[in-house]
Amino acid sequence: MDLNAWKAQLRKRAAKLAVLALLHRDEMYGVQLLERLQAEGGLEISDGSIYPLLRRLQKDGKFRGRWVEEEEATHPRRYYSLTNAGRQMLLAMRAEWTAFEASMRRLLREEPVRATR
Amino acid sequence: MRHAEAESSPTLEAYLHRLAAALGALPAEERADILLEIRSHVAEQRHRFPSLSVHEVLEHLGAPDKYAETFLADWRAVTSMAQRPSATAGLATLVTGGARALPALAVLALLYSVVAALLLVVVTEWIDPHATGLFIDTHAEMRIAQCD
Repeated sequence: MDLNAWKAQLRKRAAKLAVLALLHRDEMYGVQLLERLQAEGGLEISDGSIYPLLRRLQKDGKFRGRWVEEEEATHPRRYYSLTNAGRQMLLAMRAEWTAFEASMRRLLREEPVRATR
Repeated sequence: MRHAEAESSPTLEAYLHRLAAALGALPAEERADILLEIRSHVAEQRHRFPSLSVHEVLEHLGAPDKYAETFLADWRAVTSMAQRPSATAGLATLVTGGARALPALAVLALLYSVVAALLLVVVTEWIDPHATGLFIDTHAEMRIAQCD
């Protein structure tokens, strides 16, 4: 099995929840999200994945976006934040994730039934 | 969109041109927003990593046609869930839709009853031609006999 491909899949599948969690704390633009995911260690996604994800969740009513022209930037930035629907989705997904994670941790901690030699 | 071009280079313009063409199926406003966001992304990444060329930043996004397909697939997924109800879902909306659906339901009911009445006439005409007309009158024959 290709471990790297599996890792990339894991991160990609978790990206939605990770982005929801980041935007719950603060309004952010695309590159900022990419940076933060990378800084968290092991959560980074490709540059190409972030904008389709942001547009999809915006279309779906979970995010709202607005263009901001800032002094220090030479270009407008599109900032995203959570809508009420987005916050509700985050709560629901977080509960699922926590339960999933707990089960997986239990499963992985279990001693092997019989040692194979 | 009122913003001036944030970042401009022949490589970027060519990329955006191809991306725009591949995104043709999207509403104009959505497409313009995506293009502006990519422009912003390139400027941002070039600012963070001055050694990166425009070409390298774009390479990380993927080839324009392939990249466009990601946006289109997502758009279709969201649109089909939110805005394209199936025939049964449409009927359910019509039935449960309340006040707005009432005129449509009334017209439908009227059309159905007209069709049913016509079918009834056709069937009875076939079973009993003498007694049947568009206006059912079972005494017609009797009256004709009296006139004679």
